[in-house]
Amino acid sequence: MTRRLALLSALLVLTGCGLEPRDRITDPASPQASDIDGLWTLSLWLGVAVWIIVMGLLAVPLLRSWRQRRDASDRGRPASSDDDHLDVEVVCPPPADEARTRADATAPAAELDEPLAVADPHEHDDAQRDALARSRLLWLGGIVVPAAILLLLLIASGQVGSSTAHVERDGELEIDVIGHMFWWEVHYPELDITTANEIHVPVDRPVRLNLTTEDVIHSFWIPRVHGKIDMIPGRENLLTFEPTETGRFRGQCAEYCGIAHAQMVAFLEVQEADEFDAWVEQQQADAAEPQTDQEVEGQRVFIEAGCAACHAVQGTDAVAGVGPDLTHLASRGSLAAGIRPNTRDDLQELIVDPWGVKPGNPMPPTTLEPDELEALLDYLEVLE
Amino acid sequence: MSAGTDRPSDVQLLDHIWGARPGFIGWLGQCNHKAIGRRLVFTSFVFLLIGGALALVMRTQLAFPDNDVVGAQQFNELFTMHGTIMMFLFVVPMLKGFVVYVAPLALGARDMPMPRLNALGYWVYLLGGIFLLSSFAAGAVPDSGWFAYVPLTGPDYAPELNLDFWLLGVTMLEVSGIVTAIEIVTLVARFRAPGMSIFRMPVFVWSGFVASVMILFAFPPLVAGTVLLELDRKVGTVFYDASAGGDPLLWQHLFWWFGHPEVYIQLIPALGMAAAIVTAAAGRRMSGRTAVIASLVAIGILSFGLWVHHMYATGIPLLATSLFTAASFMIAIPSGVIVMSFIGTLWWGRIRWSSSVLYVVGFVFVFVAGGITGVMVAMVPFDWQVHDTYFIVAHLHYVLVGGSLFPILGALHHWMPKLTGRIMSEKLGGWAFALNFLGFNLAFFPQHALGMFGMPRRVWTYEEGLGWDGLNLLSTAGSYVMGLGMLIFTVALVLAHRPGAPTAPADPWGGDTLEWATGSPAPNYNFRSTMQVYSPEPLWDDRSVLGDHGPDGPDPDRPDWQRRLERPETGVRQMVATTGLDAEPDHIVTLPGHSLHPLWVSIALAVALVGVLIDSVPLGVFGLVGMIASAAAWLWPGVE
Amino acid sequence: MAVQHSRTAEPIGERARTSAMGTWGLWLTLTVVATFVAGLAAAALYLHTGQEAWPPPFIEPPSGLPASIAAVLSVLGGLVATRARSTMGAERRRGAAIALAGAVGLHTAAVVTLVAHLWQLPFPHDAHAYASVYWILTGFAAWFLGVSVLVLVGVLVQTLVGFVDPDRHLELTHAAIHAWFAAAAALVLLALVHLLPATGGGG
Repeated sequence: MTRRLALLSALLVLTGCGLEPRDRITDPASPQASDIDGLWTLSLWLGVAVWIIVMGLLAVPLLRSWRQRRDASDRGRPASSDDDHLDVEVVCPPPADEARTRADATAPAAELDEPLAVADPHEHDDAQRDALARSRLLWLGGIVVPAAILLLLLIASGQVGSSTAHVERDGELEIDVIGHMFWWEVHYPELDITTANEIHVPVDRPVRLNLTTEDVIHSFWIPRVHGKIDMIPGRENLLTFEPTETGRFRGQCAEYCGIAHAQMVAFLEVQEADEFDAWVEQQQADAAEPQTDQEVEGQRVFIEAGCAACHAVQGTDAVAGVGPDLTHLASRGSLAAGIRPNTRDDLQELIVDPWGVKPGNPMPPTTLEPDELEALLDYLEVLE
Repeated sequence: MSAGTDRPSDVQLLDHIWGARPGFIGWLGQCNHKAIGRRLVFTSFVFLLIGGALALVMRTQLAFPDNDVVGAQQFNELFTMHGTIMMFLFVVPMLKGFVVYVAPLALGARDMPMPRLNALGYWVYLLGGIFLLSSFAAGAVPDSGWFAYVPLTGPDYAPELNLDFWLLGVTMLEVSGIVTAIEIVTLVARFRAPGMSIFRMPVFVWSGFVASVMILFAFPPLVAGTVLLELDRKVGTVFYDASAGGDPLLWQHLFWWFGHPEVYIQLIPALGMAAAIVTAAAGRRMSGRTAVIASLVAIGILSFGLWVHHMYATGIPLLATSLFTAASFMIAIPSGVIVMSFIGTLWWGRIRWSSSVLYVVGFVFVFVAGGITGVMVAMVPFDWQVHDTYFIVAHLHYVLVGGSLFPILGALHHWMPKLTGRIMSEKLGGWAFALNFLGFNLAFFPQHALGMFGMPRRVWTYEEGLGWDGLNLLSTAGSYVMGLGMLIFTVALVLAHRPGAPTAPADPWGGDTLEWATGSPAPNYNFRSTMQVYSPEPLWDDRSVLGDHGPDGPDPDRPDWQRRLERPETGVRQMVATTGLDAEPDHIVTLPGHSLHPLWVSIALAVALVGVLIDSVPLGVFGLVGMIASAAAWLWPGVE
Repeated sequence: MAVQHSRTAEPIGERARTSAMGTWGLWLTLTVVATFVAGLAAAALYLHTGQEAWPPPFIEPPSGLPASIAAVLSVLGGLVATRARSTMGAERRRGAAIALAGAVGLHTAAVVTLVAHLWQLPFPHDAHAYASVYWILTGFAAWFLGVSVLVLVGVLVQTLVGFVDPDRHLELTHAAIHAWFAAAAALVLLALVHLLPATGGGG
């Protein structure tokens, strides 16, 4: 027993150190997520109640059986029901002569449910005693009560569904999010901003996401503001929510999309309106010009070493749209679709060894002289 | 009926006629249901161990954040193969194996109605399994998850052979499932003992029957779907290519039309197993027996109306998805009836405890929890949140481990005497159950929370600081405990078959159905004389005539055809077929006993599919011609 | 009932009231194949309803004549196979063999018509989902009829050798049922290719 307690507490310690979830469904930051959370709470309590009741019902016969075994062993004879050496025990069929007296030869079909069949005819009356309880169990527990609960949940689910599904809203901020293997392209059509992986929105304003994909099926999900919805080739799905809390909310691709599915993270940055406006202004500007020689050299490397084949930097010759737009790379908080902090070391690792950072990354490794690499990093850090 | 000195006794004669031919070829060509059933059960048990081992590797990788036990690619292969092996190579064949072995015995029959087709089912299954696993040797393991969504599995994003292995292998397994299902439906329609009208059929056989009928309607559309995908991949058609007028959602509809009933195909026979165990252990008729049968049928029908509840997040309009919520809720009612029947059967409390009963109790405990989370995820808005997260992983394991694996382990304990004549140790069995039960809950309960904390399924790694670390570690620890439980179970299984281990009596549990009326293991011919059944529990009532297996011996006034079946001087395998509903004796059927044709057909099928796999037209044509030739030889009359 | 003509069944009473095992196997197999056809049909309908234009503007729908000819041939094949069975039942083995050969010929002709039609199609199978549906559904229609040809040839050979005779001809009954089934499957598939209403632009 002590050993078991020790084990239990060890487990609790282990669990404890990992708790404090960063983003959970039960901590909603929008009315939509909040409605869903309410539905969850309702179903959780009903579900727990149902489970406990069913387990209680299951416990009754188990306890009865246990008591019978105890009584039998108290009386000093082994109960037929709990023989530990079941391996060798043969349960005899009912003695033929006694069994004969029970039934009379009427139409066989009438015997379908009566008399109740039991293995040992001596126990027949005993077995009949609980018949009413069994019948009630089946009707109430199997049909009536579940049906009532399900009806309640059906209504609740329908209401929450209609309050959280997409509807046109006035003044909503429209954002196109396009799934790629394995990053998110973000485009603000009204504001003419293109960025990646980090979606900035103002607080208390309805946001509408137009979700599409460039390649395979992805699923966009920020647990604290709304449920997920798939990005499917040939279709556009819409998601509307209204964040009511500022913060940096994390979400991850939820539909398996290939080798690096685990490393396709999106952040939703909910800001105060004025901060958001400032951000918009910054993002609308062209990329910062390189100032020092080192930075100019870096820009040359960027264009010539192959980066520009996939990445765009607005205001330069780099206009390709295969990889994320890097015009304001340095203003982002994370790299490689949210899996690394945006630091110089991580950036360097990403350029030199993209497949080590993220297996299956479409970005090929770039071989550069050390001074070229430094220049490139200097340049990229300018792109505020 | 006494044997003369120079004549073999009836039993010797029957044993000779129904036995396998001597030698390796004789062993290979066996078509008797007991040989096939045993093969299915033990082969799929091996696959269970393989699938479980893969799961342990996955849990090891996920024990810590940023772990690197396996890489991304290997992890993706692991979860794909884990799901595929468990679904297609373990659960379904295991359940079919039990139905194939036990159902003819429980119906008082001597064999399946089309023994050679039965053998074909096994060979195609075995070769399909080898085909799938050979992808490990070929270095092209399927890596797209067990539901293989396009376009990730289409020619553009999966150009290698990985998915071809999956599509062709799964098609073979589906063919095997269909073949066995045809077999079981015919068995139920034709081979019930005289007097066993349709509602006197044991619940377990009912469940196998319902699942088989479901297979007939669920598997072919997936075969159609995989054929179209394979055509997209190999021939260049564009059924799933959105840029050319195709639609990736078509795959999801076809897949889940199969995939959702498939879940219940894995559940329903397991419910039947649990019912058989619980009836024998409580020593009384299943409470609400007719209601249970009706519920099984209802689940079978309703399960075809739910497929869209796997697709709530695809943007299908809310009104349509809400209808599927209602349909999904409806299935909770028959499930509730069945659970209540189990509890009601035990209500009396006179339980003869055994390891199999422990598994049934574990099943109710776990399955009810899985059912409740099932109701939760059937609600569209809540599913938007937890869809494709670890909440779903937890839910589906609660349903499938609770609803399928536990009853199967219980059934292995319960029917092992009938399968091999040995009985598994109750002591080891109890330990294995305790570890499996604890380990399972420890492994999967925390995953509900992980899903609520935003952890998607099918991620090979996760960062530190997301609040997922401790729960994942706990889950991994639980999986090891369960692994230990399965190890002990396997040891118990092997020990029971060591030379000199005690043999089992004919009826160790005081069972109610006909399989317990014959020896353990069942003799080659199953039953010497024809039965006459008067109730659903022929071993408990006092009127059913069990031939010389019952207390009275054979009926002295029995008709001549029964005597002929008891002493088949013609030297061929014969038994009586009965009418569909009332099971009145109708005609005597002659069954084949030994055939290698099924093996040839399945080898030719495998050759043809390897031809497709490696783009070799000659090999494909060779296989196709081989199939036609061996099928023609098979159907050539008079040649066994 | 078919049991009388089976070589593995022997009625207990005056006559058997049920059908033989093989007949059960046949009908269940046909159920499975019919579900497979339904899956293909559902796929074609789904793609059709999801498209704005079917066929797409750049594809001219081909003539339905070859498909109609094949449909007629396959139905005739079914009729002649049924005829073979009743001729056999009337104790005329030679006539049955001739009718069977006729059914084989009709279904072979249907297969050849369809394959030749596909051979000459002006658009490739990867041009559009319409083209894929056209090719594959027509191809499957030919496939089912081809299987029917194999089955009929098998029974024809067994008839010629003398295994199938007026007393024991369950195989022939089954082959006739299968011939009808193949014809029905081909009709459904060809109808899906040719009779779905054209929407939007195109033909």
